[in-house]
Amino acid sequence: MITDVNEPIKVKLIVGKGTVKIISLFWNSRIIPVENITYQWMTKNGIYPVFHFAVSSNDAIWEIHFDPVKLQWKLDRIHMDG
Amino acid sequence: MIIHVDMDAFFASVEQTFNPFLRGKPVFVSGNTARDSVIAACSYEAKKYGVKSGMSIVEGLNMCPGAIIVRGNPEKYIDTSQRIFNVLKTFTEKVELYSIDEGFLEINPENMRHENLMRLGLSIKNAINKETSLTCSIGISCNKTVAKIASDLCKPDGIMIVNESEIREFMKTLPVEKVPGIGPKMAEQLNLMGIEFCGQIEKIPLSLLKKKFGVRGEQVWYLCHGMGETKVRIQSPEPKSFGHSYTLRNDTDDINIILSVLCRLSHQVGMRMRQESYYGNVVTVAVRYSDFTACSKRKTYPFWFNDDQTIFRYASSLIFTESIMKKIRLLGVSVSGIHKRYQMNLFRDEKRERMLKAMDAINEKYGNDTVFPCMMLYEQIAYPPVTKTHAFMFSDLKKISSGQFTGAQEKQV
Repeated sequence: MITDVNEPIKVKLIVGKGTVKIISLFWNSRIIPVENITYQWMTKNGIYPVFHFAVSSNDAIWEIHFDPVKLQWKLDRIHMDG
Repeated sequence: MIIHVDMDAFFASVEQTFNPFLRGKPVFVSGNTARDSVIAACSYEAKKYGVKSGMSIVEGLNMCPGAIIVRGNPEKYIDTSQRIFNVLKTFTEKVELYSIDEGFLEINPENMRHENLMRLGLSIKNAINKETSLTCSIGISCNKTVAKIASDLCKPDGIMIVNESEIREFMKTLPVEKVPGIGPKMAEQLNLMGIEFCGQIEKIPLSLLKKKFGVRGEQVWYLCHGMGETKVRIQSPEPKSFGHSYTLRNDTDDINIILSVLCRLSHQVGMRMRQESYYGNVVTVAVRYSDFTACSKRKTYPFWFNDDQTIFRYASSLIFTESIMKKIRLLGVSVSGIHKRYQMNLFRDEKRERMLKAMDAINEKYGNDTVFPCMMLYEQIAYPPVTKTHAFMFSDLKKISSGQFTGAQEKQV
């Protein structure tokens, strides 16, 4: 089941040399611990890049993106099993 | 030597990697999750039930009732494809992008020993898997035709090497429909002639096939003998046409929606032509109706153009020559008769050219569809998008050029 959200979200992460480790998501007064990044890809909004991530928690896949122009993280949709 | 790299069930594998809940399950990837949409790709778990790309979702569900339908995300696939081709370019500069999920590599004859080729194939597979977590199949031979057949036969996640001396034996028992370039209709014609396997074509003289099928017959004869190009094409050939098509979210006979979609397609075609500095003078409109019958109309004009409005004007005039009696499912607009230069039009609209230039500059910087003709809004009102869209009016362009415009007005349309 997929739920479209499209809302701003807070993200706790560690940025290394060319790598990102997402620790947890803060959304809707909830802290969602992230197990791992299952997929990442980049799109372009004109000349500006947008970084997309799919991260897994124990019960769902969270599709989020970071817009470096707006310095904003957004939760796009939640994918759940079943 | 030629190496053909073909990703295994590409779109479906990307979705299964992206969402681990889908792993091990039959998955259909489609542009639209409606039941009358077409399956763009399916996972190997679905293929086991006989499901194939191009089938409608209803057909697919009849064969594989438990399948999960996933809406495809082209941007995700394009980015993944670019990463795959970047990996391939670390092995050789001679890489041909054959499609979004397959490519040919040309390698030096010094790597021609079997064990070296096998090692190289494994290295390519490992490098792609490390970058994307996806698997691919690899065919290696002395030409593109046999390399492609080999990669197809060793799917999924295999490597097959066919040396030059083995090609004749390899082709002998290969069904003709397995050869790339021989479609179902040609295969049927060949079967009627008693040719089911490539080896059987040896009994048929080339002149007979040429007489029966013309140039295609000659091509088929060479293909069935395992002959093909031995060099990769690094530069993409000159385009013959620019076109876009769109399957409507719901079949419709609402002329406003039809015109709105035609306007968007004309805008997309025009923008791409201007980006690559091409002009064309033939407009074609393709229509597919809800009952899957199709028609197309084309007209040649005595001058060359690449602006959205002209393309839209001609496309809409062509569609009005067709009496729309049934609901429309798909619309397509293309421009052909392509030239890099064009004969100067004495009556050119310089003001409009400047406006298009400004519009293209904005769209290039801030993303496609930042500025677009208002007519395109009608389709978005009829089918509201889930996400927000930035909509500008043409009048805003003046404010942008004079510095009065303060920012994008985000509107829910």
